[in-house]
Amino acid sequence: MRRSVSYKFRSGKGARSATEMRVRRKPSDRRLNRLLRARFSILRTSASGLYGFGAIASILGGRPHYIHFGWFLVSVANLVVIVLMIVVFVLALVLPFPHGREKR
Amino acid sequence: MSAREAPSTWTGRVRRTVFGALPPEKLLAEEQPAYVASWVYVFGVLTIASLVAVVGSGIVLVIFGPTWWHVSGIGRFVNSIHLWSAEAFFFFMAIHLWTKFFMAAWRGRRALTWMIGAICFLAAIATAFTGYLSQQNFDSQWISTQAKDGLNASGVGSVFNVLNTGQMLLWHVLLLPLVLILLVALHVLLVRLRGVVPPLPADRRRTPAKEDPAYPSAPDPAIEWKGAKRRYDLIKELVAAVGAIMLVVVILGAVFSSPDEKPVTIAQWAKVEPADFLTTATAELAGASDSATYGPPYTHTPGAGQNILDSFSLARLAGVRIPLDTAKAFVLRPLGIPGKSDPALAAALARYRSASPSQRRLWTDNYTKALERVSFSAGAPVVASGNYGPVALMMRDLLGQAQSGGLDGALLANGRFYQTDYTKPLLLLSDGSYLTELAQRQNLLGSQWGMMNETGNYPGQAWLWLYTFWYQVPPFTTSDNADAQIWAIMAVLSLALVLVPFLPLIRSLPRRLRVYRLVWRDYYRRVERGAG
Repeated sequence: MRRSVSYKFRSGKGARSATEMRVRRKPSDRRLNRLLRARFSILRTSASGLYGFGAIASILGGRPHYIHFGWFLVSVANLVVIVLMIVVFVLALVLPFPHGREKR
Repeated sequence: MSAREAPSTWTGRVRRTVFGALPPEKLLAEEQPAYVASWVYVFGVLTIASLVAVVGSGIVLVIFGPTWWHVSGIGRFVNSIHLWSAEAFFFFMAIHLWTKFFMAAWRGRRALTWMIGAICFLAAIATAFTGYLSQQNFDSQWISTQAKDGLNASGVGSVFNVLNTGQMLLWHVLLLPLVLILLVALHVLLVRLRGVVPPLPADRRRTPAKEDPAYPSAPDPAIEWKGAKRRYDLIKELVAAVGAIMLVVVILGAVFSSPDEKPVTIAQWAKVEPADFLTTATAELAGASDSATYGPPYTHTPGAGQNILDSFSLARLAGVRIPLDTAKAFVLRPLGIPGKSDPALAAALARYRSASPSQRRLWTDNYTKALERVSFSAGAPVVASGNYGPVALMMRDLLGQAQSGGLDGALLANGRFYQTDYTKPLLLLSDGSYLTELAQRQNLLGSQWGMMNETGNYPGQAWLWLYTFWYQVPPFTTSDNADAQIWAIMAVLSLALVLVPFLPLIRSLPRRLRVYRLVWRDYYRRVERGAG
């Protein structure tokens, strides 16, 4: 027959069970626990926040948008990237570059 | 040993050579020539910053394993950063390549710098390609089944099996990044060693008689610049670039996430399109499917395997390295599993195995014709009565096995505990039309410029535009050897990109196009102003 055992580490008013001993920690540990909980709460909020962006993400995840020019087919996303590359390249060529002090 | 005495050890010789050519003050210089005054110079460091973001996010993905990003919000976010930083890497690398071409940056013993840079671009394409193959979603399934043809046609497929997910994952997370990082490091060291290429000579008609010594009109690209210089903080620029890129990719990842279409299973295929599954499976049994008659590296089919020229085939040269008997692999062996506890199925299998080839062909031909008018009752195929031998029962049971998910597992089973090779299930899926129909809806077919495209509205591999272009034009649109021929063309063009500094017509283009006048406009203004 299994015997029910309750371990007491202290007598009288301050007596605590082994389970309590494991759970209850010194004040600095409790502060650490609170801090960790807060940190993980931030992480959880961030993760759900990221899922909250699903509405925006679905813009790219929905029905594909493509442009046809005769036999040429290009996705709007790829076209945006290619046009952006050309624009950035041209801007890099024509925009003035800030000059530092010159040494001769 | 005195300082002037030549070192006698290998270590000493290496130290003297390395630090003699590239002393720390040259490697981490705090000054640079005054002509380096254009925004086009930031694309190199932005490319490296993007690579840092790719590698950093990749390391996090490696730590948590290949399935983490499919099941975790944080994982998906990190994968999104990985995707967008890879896009940024190619974005800036391509612009960096354009600028260096227009500056004829290979002048003055800098051809090797250009060549290593071009090889970096090709290595990056291979690294990104294996990344797409390692996604373990619909996109990676489709890409692998399509890419295999080009690789097999070039003879590479027999060693580099794109259908083997485990192999591709290892190439992606270890071999190719290692090669790419080493190449980028070598490229940067060469840039530091040779210095930034000086401007092309100024127009003599506009050059005054008295030159400013700080701005020589025709600097020799082979010797170190002795003209005007400016202060420059290499590390600060790199840190700022990494910070800027991280900010951009984190925002893009958070806002746009990353695509992850669920992979197609054989169970899903068999449930959604059972007739297509049965037709494909019967073709596998009859040895008449695409895979059964593919040729190297899967089968010994006479004459099969694409030719590059006339009858010259790299695929046949590489030989059959991944042998496949579709009847056994896709039908008979999987059915043997339930056959152990099903006497009727066991008898059907025994009857089929003992029949003559002509008898088997008659049964499979009759059943294939009957499948044109197949209907389904309680999930089981119903065909007009005919001489199908044991094939009707076998196919009915195979459909049931497939619909229950048993065939997905049976095709992966290799007698060992762990499975990473998806060659068989992917080949079976690609022989049917279900996978193709799904890909067509996403504009992923070769005829739809599919190599460039991504599922949904995400930007894809735009850098493959030239490769996918050839598939849209004759004679490749109708050629049976299109993959082999296009691979050969791309190999030649890739070699040409690497060898640009030595190609007479191409290397003179920057001088004719005169885009460099915009890059170095401040320098030319100073030269044309002259001394005083």
